Amino acid sequence: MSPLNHSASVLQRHRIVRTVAVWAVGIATTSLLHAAVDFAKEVEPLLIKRCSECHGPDKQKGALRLDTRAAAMKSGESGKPALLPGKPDDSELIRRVTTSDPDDAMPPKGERLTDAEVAVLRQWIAEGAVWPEFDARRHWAFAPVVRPELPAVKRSGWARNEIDRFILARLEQEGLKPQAEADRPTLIRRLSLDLNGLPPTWDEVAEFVADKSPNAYERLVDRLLDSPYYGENMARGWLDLARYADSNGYQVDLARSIWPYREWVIEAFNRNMPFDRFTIEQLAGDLLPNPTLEQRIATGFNRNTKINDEGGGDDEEYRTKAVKDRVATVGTTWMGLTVMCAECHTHKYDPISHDEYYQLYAFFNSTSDSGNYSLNPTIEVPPPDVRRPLRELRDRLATTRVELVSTEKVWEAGQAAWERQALKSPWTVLTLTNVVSTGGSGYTNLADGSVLGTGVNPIYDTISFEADTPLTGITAVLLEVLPDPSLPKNGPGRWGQTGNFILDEFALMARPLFDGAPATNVFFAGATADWEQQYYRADHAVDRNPKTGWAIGPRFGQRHFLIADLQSPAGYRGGTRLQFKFEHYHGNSHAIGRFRVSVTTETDPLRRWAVSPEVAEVLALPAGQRNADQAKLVAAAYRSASPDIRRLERELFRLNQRETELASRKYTTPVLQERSEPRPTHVQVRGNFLEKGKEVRPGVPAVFPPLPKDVPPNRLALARWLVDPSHPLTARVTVNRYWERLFGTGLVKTSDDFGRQGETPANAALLDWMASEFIASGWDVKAMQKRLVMSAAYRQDSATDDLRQEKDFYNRLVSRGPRFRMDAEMIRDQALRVSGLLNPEVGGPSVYPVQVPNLWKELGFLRPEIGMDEWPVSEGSDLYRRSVYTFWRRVCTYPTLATFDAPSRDVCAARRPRTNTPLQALAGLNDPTFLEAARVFAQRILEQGGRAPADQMEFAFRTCLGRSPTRTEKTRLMDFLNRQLEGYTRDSAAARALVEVGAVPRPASVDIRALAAWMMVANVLLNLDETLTKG
Amino acid sequence: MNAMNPLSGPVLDSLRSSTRRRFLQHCGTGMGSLVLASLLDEKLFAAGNPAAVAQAVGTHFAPKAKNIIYLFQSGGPSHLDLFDHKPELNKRNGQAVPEELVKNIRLAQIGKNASLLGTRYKFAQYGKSGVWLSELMPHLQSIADDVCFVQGFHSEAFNHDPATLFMNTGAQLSGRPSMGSWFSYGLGSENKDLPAFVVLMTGVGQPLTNAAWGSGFLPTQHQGVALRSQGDPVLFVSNPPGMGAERRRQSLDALKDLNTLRLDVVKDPEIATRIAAYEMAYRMQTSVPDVMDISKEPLRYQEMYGTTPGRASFANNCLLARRLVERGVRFVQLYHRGWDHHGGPDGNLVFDLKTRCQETDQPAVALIRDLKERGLLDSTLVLWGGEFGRTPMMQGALSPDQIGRDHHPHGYTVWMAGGGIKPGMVYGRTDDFGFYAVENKVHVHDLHATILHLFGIDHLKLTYRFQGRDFRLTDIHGEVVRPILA
Repeated sequence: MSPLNHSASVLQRHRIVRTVAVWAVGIATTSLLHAAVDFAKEVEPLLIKRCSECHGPDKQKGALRLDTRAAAMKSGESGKPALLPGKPDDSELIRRVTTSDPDDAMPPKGERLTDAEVAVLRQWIAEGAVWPEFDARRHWAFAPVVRPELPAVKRSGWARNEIDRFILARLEQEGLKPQAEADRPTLIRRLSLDLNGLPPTWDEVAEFVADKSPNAYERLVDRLLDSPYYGENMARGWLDLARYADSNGYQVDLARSIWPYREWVIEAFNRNMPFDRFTIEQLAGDLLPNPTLEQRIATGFNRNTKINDEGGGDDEEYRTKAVKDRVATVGTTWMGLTVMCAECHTHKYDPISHDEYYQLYAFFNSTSDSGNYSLNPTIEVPPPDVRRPLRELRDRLATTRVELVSTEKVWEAGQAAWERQALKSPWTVLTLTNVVSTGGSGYTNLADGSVLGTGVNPIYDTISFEADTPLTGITAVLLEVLPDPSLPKNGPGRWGQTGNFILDEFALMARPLFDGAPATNVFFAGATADWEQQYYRADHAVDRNPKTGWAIGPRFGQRHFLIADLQSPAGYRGGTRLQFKFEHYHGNSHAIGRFRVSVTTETDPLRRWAVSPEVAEVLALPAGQRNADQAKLVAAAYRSASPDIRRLERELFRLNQRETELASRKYTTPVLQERSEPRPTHVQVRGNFLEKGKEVRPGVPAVFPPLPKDVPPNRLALARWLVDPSHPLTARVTVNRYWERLFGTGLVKTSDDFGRQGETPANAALLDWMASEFIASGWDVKAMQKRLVMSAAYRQDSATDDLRQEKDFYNRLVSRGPRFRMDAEMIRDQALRVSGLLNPEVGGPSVYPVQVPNLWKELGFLRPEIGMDEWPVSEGSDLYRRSVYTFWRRVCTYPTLATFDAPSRDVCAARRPRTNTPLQALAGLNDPTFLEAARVFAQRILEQGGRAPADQMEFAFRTCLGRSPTRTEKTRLMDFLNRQLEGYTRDSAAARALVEVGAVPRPASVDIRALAAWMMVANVLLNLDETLTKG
Repeated sequence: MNAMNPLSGPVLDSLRSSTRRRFLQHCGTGMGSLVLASLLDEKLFAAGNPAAVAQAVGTHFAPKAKNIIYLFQSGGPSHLDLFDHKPELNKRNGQAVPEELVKNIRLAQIGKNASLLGTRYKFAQYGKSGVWLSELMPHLQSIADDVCFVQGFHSEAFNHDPATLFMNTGAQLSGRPSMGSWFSYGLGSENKDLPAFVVLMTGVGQPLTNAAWGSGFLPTQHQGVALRSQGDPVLFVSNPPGMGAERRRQSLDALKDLNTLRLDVVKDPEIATRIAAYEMAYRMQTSVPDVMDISKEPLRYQEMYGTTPGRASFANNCLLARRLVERGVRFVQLYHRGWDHHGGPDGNLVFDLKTRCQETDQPAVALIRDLKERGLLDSTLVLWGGEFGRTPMMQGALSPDQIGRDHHPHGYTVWMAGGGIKPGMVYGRTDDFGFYAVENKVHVHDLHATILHLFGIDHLKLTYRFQGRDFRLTDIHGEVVRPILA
């Protein structure tokens, strides 16, 4: 590779450059034998790394400074010159880094310099200590944007717009030819994915392929830019920058409502809000005259900072962290600068002093939000359109009610028989002894055989107790939890706010009473209860998983019971000692307050259904002597014995609750608000907020154009300054990001660092042309997208060959079309779209698509009272919304998105890595979302793909990839299909199990064996490299 | 299938090797060679001279350790009741804390006028080093000669979240790569069927955040893979019901063939990488459940560790850690929660501290004995410690269920064994109150530098460029603690 490959300014003079290049290569070859030391590459980094902490701009120990030539030439306190050009042996610097005298040795900390590093310094001094003075203002990115001339090219017929001239000039210089234009199916897929984040439908492909009009491509581009999907797709990258998330961050990581900000971003892109206005409203919408609701919502950009919810945190510490996060985020997002490096000391490479950092900090230091606990200030926003989810909920309510009525009808018939056998309870109440609480609580035996907790109310607790029984063949244990006036809210639990409890584990051991044999475990097969709180099922108490448990919310203050079935009958002849244990791990005093335990040898679950003493009393009366209330009581007891009725009632309860919530909920979003009294800002010594240095006023780094003099120096002024046409960075950084989205890598590869440590642009003239065009267009975002995708460069085929691999391995010169793996959200959205599952609604609060259960609990989030212990899976078509609406919890990012490199959004992320890992493969193959998509895609193939399997295969392939399969591809897939058909025909149980996945109903008419076989095919199609890749 | 396949094995191989060549050319300097260490024969380790090993493996100098097991005790175990014997503190039990100790610090929950609290546990000396250990750790006493106790250890943060992140990533805010991720990035994995960095969790208490084992700005493949004790050990490693390994294999064959056809057309080497990733995924489907199944271990080991198969426990995870290390997993981290003993029934220095010790003492010691028996201790570093210690001042009240201590990062104890650490040693000390580390202090960054050193890595040179800066695990600090190296 030529050493001038990345040199930008020479591009416009390419004829000269070619001569220079030949010369430079000549030098490079000979210099291998006797290379002169390169100050910027070899010496300066060494000085910065090992010397400048003590001898730099912030500190000059021994009165020595080694960051500019002029300073370094002076002697320090020792009086000996640090550098004597030409005379390394007389230079104090060399003596200090080589001496063995521990008092003089430099650097005093860390490893000594290596021999090679010393040799570099020696040679550099011997060669005259050449130290080209660096003028930050002349760094390419800090120089004003000047619109370059279009370069001359040979194959001018190829260029479709200005962008192509710049690209072609560069390719011709390298002796490369552009790749041919991609075929139409490829183009429409690329465009749809890039502009809308979704693949095209086959109809769209066919229409575009058939469209012979000269502007077919442009009309397609316009249609895609007009689609509401465009805003959702553009929002993804912006939300990474804005560190948008639905939770507070840090340890407790509570949920927050800030989705109206996300909606604002999507809308802004869809309405093509000019980028300057987009900037001003997000950074300072609240400071505009008479700000609208939308403009205030927009300031949510800087309320995406984290808030500490852990007890004992210092509010000011977390507030200042948030302010620093704002400085860093604004620096990266608009200026592509690593401003945060100047938090503790003057920036080592870029012209941002320690003081200037705190001048930027001052702009954000006077808002009224805090660092701990509270999201205030917030504003109320109009509720989202809940008509569809409400309708779905009410539909489900209606069908559930119908189902309940018909189930009850069938069930009622058995009541008389049940009453007869229920007269005699199969349960024997145990006398509980030796009740011990590790948390120190006391337990009192009551007359009815129950036990009541008193005294200390431990936050966590393990309660053990014993009982002896003469029974053998015990089949189940009945645990009754009982209300009591001494308990909070009447119990039956001890959680102060509601009377709830959470029984995480219920364990049992047994030993024979009359010989010395030790106790052995008694295992439970499962458990049922008369009432289960959502996510807190009876089974959870006996599943040997301490993170899950049984609870009874919101039906507090009344008796409930749980029946735990034994795996095999227990009890020894001659008597058995039963040793019980309750484990309460959830914290916040969720122990059971009063309970009674019984055992039975009955095997019929219906007979075992536990009847309360009140019901028992009524049952003793002949049916004719019961009053209406009593009759109801008995009927209710009987009803609750039906597992189906219990399930339906729980479902009805939940749906009703959700309906009420949905219909009446108020919605808020956090905003920025300036305090009436501005906070003074001090420089923080070494970035420590407790160590205050001198006071500073809001201001911008001196290397940039100044703020206007006639306006108050506040956030609004800063925002306007950022989008002033004279600002050298904002437009460059922004168009570079657009380029990166489409081509995979920015013209400046380090799209988050335009400073001296960043990469120089692969095509500086093109970058500047686009930047100036962007400004000239009035910061028209859609126009810039259009210009990019209209270029011939963008339309190239992505295939590569030996020459391109040799000269343009990473496609930085754009010698072919872009080809790279899609972002996480696109991969999921595509699967939904291809299968037909996608719910295309735009906007609204975050949703909770299917996620592996208990993930939050495994991380230790066991706080049901704040609703952050379990992922509350969405209902109906909310399961299939676009991924941009997925609830984003910072400490536990939605697993499949994280696996495909989505950031946690703790901080501003300008670029996502693009990895290719086995965990991604596992997610693509087995994540229930992708499995459901495969199953529903298979249904679609069978329903819409025609009758012959070959046609169906054609349909499947086209639907997924927007092209027809080649003959070889088709043959291979048909072989696979036939093998699966054969297999599942032999094993229809397997087929049934496979197609079970997912919430969407399966049409009764579909043959499950065919469905299973096609699901296997769909699973393969959804995992093809081509499917996962934009090419 | 081969008949179908236009690109046979050698063609694919040549493409892959061309990719690897590119990788070497383009990644050039830095850790490129280190990353490749995992491709080399590990037998070098056993035999060759140190310089040759360093050169061949590509580390900065000859490594002592190959694997690490980090037993992270989440919540902050009390050094004063376990490891740090302070007669003076016991003597002044109940007196007000001397003002000069607390004047310059922030405390999480208690006030600055809290009274001193001696330990209620008996301490005695053990082993050649004569280390004082509390009666709560009877097993640990028996291996005092294998362990190096770092008693002048100190950190900075005094709240759980920032302190846990600091111990694991060298920074208090989330977003930096965790130690295990740096190891994965720097040294890679020795087992192509398992991840390089594995996390196991037990216990209840303070929540943990993914960021503690996240890869930060390093590529995602370096993040810790949490092996779950319930459900799929690795998310999505199981095929759905009704599929089975055989059909999965058939579908992967079809996938491979179609991807290979595409590779032939567009020649993008990334496709070859994707094929390889899916193949490794397939192998993980067998290797992960296999390694997780501790019931295969002989009864002797079950008893030695005190395991309860089928149920999540720290003992199970210790045994699992040994199995993972045997299979070449580079970095195994166990989190055990529940050491946050502020006093009160949810966490106190009587019931809860004892229970935690009962849960952890035997298995941790069994792990060290087991590794030693197998000749693995020399190349495996075991590290035990929390995100901070606890205050010499009391929190709560004097009754057994109310007694506690607050968070304390200024001086506490962590211990290490194996992996090139000097055995049977006490290094550093705190003042007479067990408050500040005062002698041979070891800071979090120093610990990180030292651990990297044991693996042959110069902590100044293991860097990753992000947002314009070369980041290190040790930030801009860290000194290798040479006196504790064997």
